[in-house]
Amino acid sequence: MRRRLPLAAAAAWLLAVPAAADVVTASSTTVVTAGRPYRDGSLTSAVPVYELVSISASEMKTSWGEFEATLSAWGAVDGSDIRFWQNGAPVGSRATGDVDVAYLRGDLRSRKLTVRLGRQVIVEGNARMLHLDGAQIVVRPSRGFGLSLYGGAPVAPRFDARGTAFTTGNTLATVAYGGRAYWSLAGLLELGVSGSMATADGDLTRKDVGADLRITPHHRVEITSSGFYNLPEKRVGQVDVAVGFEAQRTLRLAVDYQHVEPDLFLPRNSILSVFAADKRNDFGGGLRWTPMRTIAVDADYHLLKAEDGNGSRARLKGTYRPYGRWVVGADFQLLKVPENGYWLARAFASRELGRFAATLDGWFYRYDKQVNGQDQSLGGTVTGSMQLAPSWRVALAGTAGSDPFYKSRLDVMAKLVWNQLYTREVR
Amino acid sequence: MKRATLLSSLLLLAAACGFKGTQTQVVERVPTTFPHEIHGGFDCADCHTGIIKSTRLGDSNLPGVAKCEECHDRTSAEDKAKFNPPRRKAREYELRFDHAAHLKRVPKGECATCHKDLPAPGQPWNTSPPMATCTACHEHKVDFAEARCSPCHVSLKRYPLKPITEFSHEGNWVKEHGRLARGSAESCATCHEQTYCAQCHATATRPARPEIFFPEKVEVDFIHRADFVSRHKIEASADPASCRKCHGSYFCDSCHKEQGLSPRSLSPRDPHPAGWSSRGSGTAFHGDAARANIVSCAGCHDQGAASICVMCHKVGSVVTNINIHPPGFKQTDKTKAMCRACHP
Repeated sequence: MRRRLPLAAAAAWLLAVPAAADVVTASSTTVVTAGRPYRDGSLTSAVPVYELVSISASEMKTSWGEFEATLSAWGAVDGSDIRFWQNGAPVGSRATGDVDVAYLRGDLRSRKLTVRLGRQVIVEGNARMLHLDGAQIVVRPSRGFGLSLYGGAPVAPRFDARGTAFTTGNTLATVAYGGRAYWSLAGLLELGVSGSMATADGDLTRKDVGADLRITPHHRVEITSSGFYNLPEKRVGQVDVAVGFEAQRTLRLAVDYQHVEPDLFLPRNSILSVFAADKRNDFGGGLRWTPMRTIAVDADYHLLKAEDGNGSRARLKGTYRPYGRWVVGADFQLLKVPENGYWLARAFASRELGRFAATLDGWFYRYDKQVNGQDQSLGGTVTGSMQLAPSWRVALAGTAGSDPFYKSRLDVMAKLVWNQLYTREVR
Repeated sequence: MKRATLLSSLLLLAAACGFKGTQTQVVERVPTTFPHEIHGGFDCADCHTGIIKSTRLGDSNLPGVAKCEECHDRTSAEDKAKFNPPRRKAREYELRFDHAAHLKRVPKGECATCHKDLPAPGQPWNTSPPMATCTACHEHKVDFAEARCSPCHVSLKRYPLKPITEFSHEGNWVKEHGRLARGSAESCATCHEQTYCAQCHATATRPARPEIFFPEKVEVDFIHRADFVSRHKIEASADPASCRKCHGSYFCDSCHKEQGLSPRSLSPRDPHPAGWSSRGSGTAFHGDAARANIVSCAGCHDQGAASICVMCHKVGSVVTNINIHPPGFKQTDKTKAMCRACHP
């Protein structure tokens, strides 16, 4: 009943709005068939049917301010076996569904006050993309100053297991709250301090303070930094600093450093939070080079330093767009850590031709040490799609391959998408 | 009942939004009657007096009839009609622009630095400077790559930005966007609603990872792309915190349980190497591994007081002479649940 009331109130409020403004609607019906023989001889087969719906009505202007109502939800039915794992959510019935976001947002007093109520994602500061059933209030008095406050209950899959050990989200809590105070000088500086707190039935699971900074001393240079400090443990959980530099119009360079103490990402009431204080550092840099309008090269390398040894992460990706509707690319990645490592070679292409579009994607992994008795993985995906009518598109995708866990796999996906955007002229 | 409530709310929402078909609301443009060209001898601010202090678009900066009367004697009926032009409706702009700040940076009276064209009589009132005028001074390429839209744009959600590939964020965006979003969530919201963020970040509710639903997006650097299941242990070992930024312990354990890797499995198998239990009997010892990556342990063993760790390490058990806490560990408040598991 507690959940139905806010929904009914939101719907009633929307009906009272005299003129609906801009509306974006999207619906996607997806059928996947997957047949995968495990290497131990067993076979899994699954035919889930997903219906994903999102509706967003924004710029609803009233005498109080401007409002936005957004809903993104989905339902699914297992056409074959009930899948044993559904992104960590409780499994047991053939039909399932959930709400990703559902909120009512109001920009009031010439956008000096913003209120968002409902299921939402909290992005700012050290909230760590907290998925929350609750409220967020942002106050922007003037001169670049602002304050955002949030509070509510972290989301649990299927409205179940909130705050228990069966939480799949990043914050194990029954209640979470926090905020961020910031000051920005348009085009030059953004500075924020934030705090996050969470409790699970009275037990503290998180208590961090954080800071973030973004400064542009020159239009070609940007420095960003953020971090958080865990108050109960009196330790720095994470600090990262990145400097981006546009050396030329065709070359952008970046260097970054990150210090992280992973155990501080565990809930404070976890028994495992008392066993270790692991410290890790990684630093490196990258570049994006666009020697021609049609070519882009991305490269980066990072040295990973941990207490059990060092590692490396590297990447080289090239993308070629010979014509506006053609894309061809190759991607090489390498990751080495003391435990194991891999290198990846991947190639992809996409082509649009009028109402039709097609993509190709192929990958090959080589593992340094065997994974499930195998040292390589090979696969590929082919997709084709067609515009059926304005706003309607149908797509078909097939994925085949072999990897350390599946001797062979063949997945076929069919998708019907309806995407409608009702626009009005803006200046 | 829960589903019925959701469905009915959805229908109500759809009804409220009014599925009226593809309708485009066009802002009315009223032709101007004022001949700017024959008033060229004046400074713009002589008539548009408010512009010098105007800090936002939409301020009423058009001169009133009284301003015309400072020079023109409007006694005849013809003049009266001429000096009562149709008033432009107040328009809401989707841009932030501070005339007062900008006028300090251009020579006095040089409004034409930006306003190259002024509306002639009979032309619609739509000669605002194009965006290229802004980018002539403001470095937009960098702003765009860094997703810094909000200083100027109030909202871009409905802007007809097509094709979208022209506006994709550059470089290692998957890694960088989080760092930028922490301080600039409002910039992200200029173009993206939370339904967009939720495609990847609603990890507690989404039915599958985004790669499953968008196989055609071959250019996007989805972090779980291709054979992630085989390499997930390597990725988690390289950066354990990155997993925890989205996923809780049970997310891992719920799959490990089905694979027989978790103590909660019906018939658990031991995935650990030889010598795991006691130091010196093999190449790996669980204590060292836990010190190096406790988050990895949490993927199967984060069950609070029911955790397998407690069985051996609780006070009074066989290994209590070993301090399992890391160097420097200070926890004086033993009333906490996790402490009570071992320190009854």
